[in-house]
Amino acid sequence: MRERLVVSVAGKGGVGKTTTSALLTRAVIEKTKRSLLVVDADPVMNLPRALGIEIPTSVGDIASRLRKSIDEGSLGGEVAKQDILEGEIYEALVEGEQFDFLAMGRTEGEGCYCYVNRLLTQIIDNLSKNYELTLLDMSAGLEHLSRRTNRNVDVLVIVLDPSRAAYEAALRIRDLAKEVHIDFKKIVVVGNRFLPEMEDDLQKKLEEENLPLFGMIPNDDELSKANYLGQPLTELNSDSPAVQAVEKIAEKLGLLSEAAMLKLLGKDT
Amino acid sequence: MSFEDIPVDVGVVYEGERVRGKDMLVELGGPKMEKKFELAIARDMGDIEDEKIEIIGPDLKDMEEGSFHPIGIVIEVAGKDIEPDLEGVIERRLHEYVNFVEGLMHLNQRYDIWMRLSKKSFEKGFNSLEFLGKVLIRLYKSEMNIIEKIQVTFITDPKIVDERYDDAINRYNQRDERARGLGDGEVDTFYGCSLCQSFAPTHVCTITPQRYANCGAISWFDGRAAARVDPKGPLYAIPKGDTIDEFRGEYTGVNQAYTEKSLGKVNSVALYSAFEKPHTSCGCFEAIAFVIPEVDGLGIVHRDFKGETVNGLPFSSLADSTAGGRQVPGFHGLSIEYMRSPKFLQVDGGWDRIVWLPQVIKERVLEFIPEDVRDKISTENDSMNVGDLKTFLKEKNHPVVERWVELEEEDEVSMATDASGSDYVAVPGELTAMVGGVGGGLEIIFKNAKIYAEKVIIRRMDKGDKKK
Repeated sequence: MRERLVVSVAGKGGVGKTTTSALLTRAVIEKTKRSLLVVDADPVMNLPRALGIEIPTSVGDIASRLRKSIDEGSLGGEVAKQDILEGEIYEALVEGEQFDFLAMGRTEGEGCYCYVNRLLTQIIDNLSKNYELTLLDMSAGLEHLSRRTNRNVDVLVIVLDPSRAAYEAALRIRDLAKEVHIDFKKIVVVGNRFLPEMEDDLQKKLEEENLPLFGMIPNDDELSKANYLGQPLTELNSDSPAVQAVEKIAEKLGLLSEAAMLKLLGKDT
Repeated sequence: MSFEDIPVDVGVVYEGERVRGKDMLVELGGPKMEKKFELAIARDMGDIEDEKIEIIGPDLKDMEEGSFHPIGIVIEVAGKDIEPDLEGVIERRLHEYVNFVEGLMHLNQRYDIWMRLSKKSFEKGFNSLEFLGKVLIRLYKSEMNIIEKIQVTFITDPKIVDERYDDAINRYNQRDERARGLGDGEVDTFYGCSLCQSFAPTHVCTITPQRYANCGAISWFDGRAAARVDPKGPLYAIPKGDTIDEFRGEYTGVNQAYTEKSLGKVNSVALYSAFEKPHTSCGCFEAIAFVIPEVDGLGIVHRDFKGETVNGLPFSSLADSTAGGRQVPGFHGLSIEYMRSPKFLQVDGGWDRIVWLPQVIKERVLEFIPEDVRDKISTENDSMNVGDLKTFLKEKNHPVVERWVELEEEDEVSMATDASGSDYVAVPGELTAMVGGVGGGLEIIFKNAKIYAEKVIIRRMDKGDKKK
């Protein structure tokens, strides 16, 4: 059976996670026919706008609602909550022509979410099994990562901008990733908005940390304008330098072809 | 069991398979349809024509590609051990079994069902609900031996779905009513949850029909569903074992689970007491019952309550005194749903022992508080210190007032009755303080301690510790 690829995009706030995720999504839908699930796991939820989609509700809203009806004691006696939640998550899923989209959002209130979060993890893991590719736009804290099935190939992409804070956050995220019980097959770095002459130095520094630099997204005026105006990045011209750079990164990550993925994993022999 | 005559594969591997919008041929039920249902009904042997499959309304092959339809599924079963109590369990299997079919997706339950058939499976020849009926009948009969006769009806005619919808809703309501009244004595399995053992290592949450999990999120029915899907997961079955004392909620099976899961730290529990061998408290209980020794009653405060309670301590301080999986008499983490249980702290006197609770909680559970004591329980609007509380209780003649007389007569039991309302707290039994934590440290045990101190400061003194 085919292996499923799960790519998580992480990094300090403001470094360009959402831009990277949106452009990776764009590369997949333009270049392939692979089934794709995009999950916005950042509670700030910028990705829907970057992709030009409307979301009816978020997983966090659903979980908060469930938590509230638990508090009020208004749930039917005999029905199990895991069964209620599953259907609601599927209703929150935005089904597009080219990809499906789920927004995690955030939960509200102080009640205990141990159980609700566990149910969510199970449901979303199950859901992602239905897609060849899953792309997660993470919050900086990696809270949403969980132990996933071994049939997933997990790749972590850490986005960096030219700031010391982003670099330090990247190292912290790498360390954290080892603690959350996911067997990341590969952890790579993407540089965003660096000046071209900085690339060599960055590459050397990252090599010392055993982190491969997988590509650089250049400064791109058209992209900045679109971001400023809140326009979907799917509408950018295909000759925009950022779009082209991310296409190359997508290929290296194995998002565009199985062969590249196997190469990434060192299984191409 | 063979499915050779079914045009698509049937098996566990297809569970969790999702039919995406653009791959689907038709949708049955779901958010676009107002009325839909699935229903299992227990019948007498004579009322069922075994293995009969009936389709009322258009069949799959009559439906337009990309269309939406209402759906009703009725599973009627009979057998000498079949009773109405099993309808819910039998009905829930529909979710699994329908999902076993390649290219069929089934979500939700009862009046919320949502099904999709993929174009691919339709093209392979799965063009009639008759096939689904056959699959269901075979799976039910082979997996549930108690089913001796079964017949399946699919309704897709909107008019008929409409006609039979109210009856289905009635049956669900009746079932929920029964579920709410389900007693611990009527089941032989409880459920345990170790979801929060990471921060409460000796905590074992015991979930019974009458006792919700401390977090308030997990009912006995949730436990049953989870343990069936993932028996090795954090929610697991606890065989009840022998009943030591039903009133107190003591069972050999529960005690054994405690010994195993707490690694011998806690070995015996009375589920329905806050004082004697109480259930352990995790870290995320919704509320805490705390002893107010001056009035020999229990106060309750929930997590969202801002500020101090009647004894001057906020939720967080009270919670710290028992959180982490400890069994501390008089400090008892619990859920709000448990306050709706007829067994709520019944060993200690139930609602007759509750003297103080926040107004919002009182409103939330009002109908479950016995009428004769409702007005006698103080809220933050009635009293905010122990002196006022005492006056309030006396004025209203709260049931605990009777206990005061008994106490005053019994000399040897000296509870704190300091009228000035000090911070004196009597801790019966054993009080354990952990010092050090990671990698050893000290354990200090006070037996039957009565402690009075203006201030206790315990400080860690590492070499080169900075002065604060």
